[in-house]
Amino acid sequence: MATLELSVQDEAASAPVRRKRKLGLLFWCASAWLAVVLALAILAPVLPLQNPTDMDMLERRAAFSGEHWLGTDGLGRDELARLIFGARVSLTVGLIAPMIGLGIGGALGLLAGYFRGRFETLVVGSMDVLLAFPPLIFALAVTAYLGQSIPNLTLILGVLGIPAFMRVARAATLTLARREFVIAAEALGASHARILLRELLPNVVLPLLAFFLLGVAVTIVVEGALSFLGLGVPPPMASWGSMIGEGRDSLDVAPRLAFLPAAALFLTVLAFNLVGDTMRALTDPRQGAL
Amino acid sequence: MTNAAAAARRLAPIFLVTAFALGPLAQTAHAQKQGGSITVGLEIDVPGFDPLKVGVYDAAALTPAAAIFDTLTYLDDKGVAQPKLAMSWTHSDDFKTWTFKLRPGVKFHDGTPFNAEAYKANFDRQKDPGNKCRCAFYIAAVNNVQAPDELTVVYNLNDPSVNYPTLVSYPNQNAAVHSPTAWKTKGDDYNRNPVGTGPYILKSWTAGDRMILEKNPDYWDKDKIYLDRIILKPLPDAQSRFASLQSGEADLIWDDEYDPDNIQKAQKDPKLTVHSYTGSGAQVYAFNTKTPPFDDVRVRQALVMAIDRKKMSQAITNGLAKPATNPYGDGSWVKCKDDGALPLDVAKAKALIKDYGKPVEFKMVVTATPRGRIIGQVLQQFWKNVGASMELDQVDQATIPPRAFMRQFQLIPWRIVDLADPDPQMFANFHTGSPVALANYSNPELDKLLEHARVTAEVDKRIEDYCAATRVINKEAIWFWTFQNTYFAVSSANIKGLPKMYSGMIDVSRVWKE
Repeated sequence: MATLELSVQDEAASAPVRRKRKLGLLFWCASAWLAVVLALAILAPVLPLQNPTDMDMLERRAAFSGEHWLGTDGLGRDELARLIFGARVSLTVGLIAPMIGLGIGGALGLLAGYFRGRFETLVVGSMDVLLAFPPLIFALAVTAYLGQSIPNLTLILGVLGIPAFMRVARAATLTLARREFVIAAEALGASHARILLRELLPNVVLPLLAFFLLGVAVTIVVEGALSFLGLGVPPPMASWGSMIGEGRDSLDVAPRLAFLPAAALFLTVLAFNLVGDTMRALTDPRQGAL
Repeated sequence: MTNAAAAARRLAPIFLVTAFALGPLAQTAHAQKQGGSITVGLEIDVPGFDPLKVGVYDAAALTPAAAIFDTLTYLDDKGVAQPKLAMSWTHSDDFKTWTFKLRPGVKFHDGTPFNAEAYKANFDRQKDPGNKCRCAFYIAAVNNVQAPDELTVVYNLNDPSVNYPTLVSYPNQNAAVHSPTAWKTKGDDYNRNPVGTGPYILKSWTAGDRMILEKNPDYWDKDKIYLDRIILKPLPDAQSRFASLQSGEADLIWDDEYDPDNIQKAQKDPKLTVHSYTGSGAQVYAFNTKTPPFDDVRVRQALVMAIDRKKMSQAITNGLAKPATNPYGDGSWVKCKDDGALPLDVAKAKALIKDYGKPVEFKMVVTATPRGRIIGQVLQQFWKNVGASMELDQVDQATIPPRAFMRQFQLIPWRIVDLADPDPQMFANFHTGSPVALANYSNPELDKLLEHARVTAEVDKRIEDYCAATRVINKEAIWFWTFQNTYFAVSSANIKGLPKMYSGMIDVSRVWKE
């Protein structure tokens, strides 16, 4: 009897673990798309592409052909080359900006969640101020003042991402800071630095990384919006957002000029969201058996 | 006999056709239909009409201004000034004093009589330094206006002007005549409640939505006014503006060559008519010759020689924009046999840049609009081809004039607007020391030509002077011109009688609907 019961329990316990391991077709499709986009973006300068800013002014809005695989845009520039070089901009900004948020916001959140007290009040208060400021207005003001360039754009979007990362890190730290293993470490006489770096950080970093992928998706969309408004990367550099903006003028003549970059943007953001969601489900500390 | 008969038979259809063709033409000349209303789609919402408040009227403001206000003169089809509020005019021998005789019995919409005193009050209000009107810049050449009697206005100019009546021919911020009673009693509200002597009276105005103008029953020239009502709508997006014309929601829309797909679509559509007018002036760019690399004439010449205007027009406007090699344009009476334009010569341009030795890198100011960015990118491409690298400096439209006046630029876009006489702008743009002599360039020969042209009455000699001035400017490449000023409006085919769009003004006050 007892052995029978035990074997049933075993099966029940192992089933959810196996389900978690299975990531699903969608996840793999998304990862594959991201891998392709990343590879193209990184290899763009060595790929046999045409120059994305060279114009053939008499070959405007050309259809798909052997010479121009995806045709040409409103100024006769190769659409495929612009899409791939546009991916570089979108991914550079989309990956580096959340890293700024991850680094600064994560550290602040960890410290605030661990030390509490006045420091926490100050950090949370100042982050609330930053959150209350309309992000698009902030971005507009800074680009107008500092000028348009990829570093400036990245910096703005990175700073705007800090509060969100701070909140995720602080929430995770708050739940973890009272757990047995932290109290045990404290009892053993571990220093604050050791507790933060060796006990808390490895556990906080997992949900932060999952959130980072969602942050990448959001940042790519915001970069697209800014470029669409003409406040993103300076022309003639291509970015998906600015390509959509330029294509809008010829929507009824050559709709592909707006739809191709829009599709690339949509698929990439969707892929980052799917991967991020799966990672978050895998690393959520509430479910974890720490 | 038979030959003659055969010839007659052959010719008969031709005569018949001619007769039929002439028939309707002769009829339409008299069949201007009374009544009806017109809806006009403009690019932007009009900020107001009080010159003290708005400073300058833009193209969108000119359409309602032409209906609400009158001016002293108007330009006929040939560009000659004709009487409107002024019945006749004379000038002094040195062209520094112009005397206008006013039309008697004209009243403003609010009943105030229009007379010399009212006209002088308009001028003094703009000129008064205490009012700090931005509009005062444009009448800086006028010393004062006097009203010696009820119907006489005397203009005293600082400098001679041989063609002054043509400069008060369209209702811009300075030439539109406002009712003095109205601006005194309405105060701040006057901006949005304008009162003039014109053929239409402002009935209602909802900001951002529509402005409704009703026919003025007491207008002095009411026989030539046909429509009962004009409705003006701001429609900023070119696509939706065109869509509202196609759907019949608007009868006429403003357009420009940067929306070439729609204009060309309308040209093929029998239900629509494209109106266009190429005026004088041009879209121009000024080099700041005090900053490197533009302090070297070789660099300036090289950059101008690199521009392929035909290709540029094709790329940006499907070929609608007309290339310009001088600042006068098809609509000007100044026609040059030789304007000294630098040829398109990529090899020579490359050689000049190489000769200069140092790398040519600079920033160009463009407006932060799709239009500004596309022009900037095309020029960037031309200059890249000859080895010069240009960076775009995108700024808000409103910051271009202050940056131009303070010379905070290397290369800046500007516009020479369509005026009936080249003198005001040529003198301001190129004479040493003028605030808009943007190139920071001084040349005694050029100064002499411009000074001579403004005091000369003989048209032939003035043309010679202006062409010689252009040769100097082109050779020194201190400014360059890309396209002429061409204005577009698209209407339903039943809208008739739209006058030439001088200065880009769409004047619908005298049109009729068939």
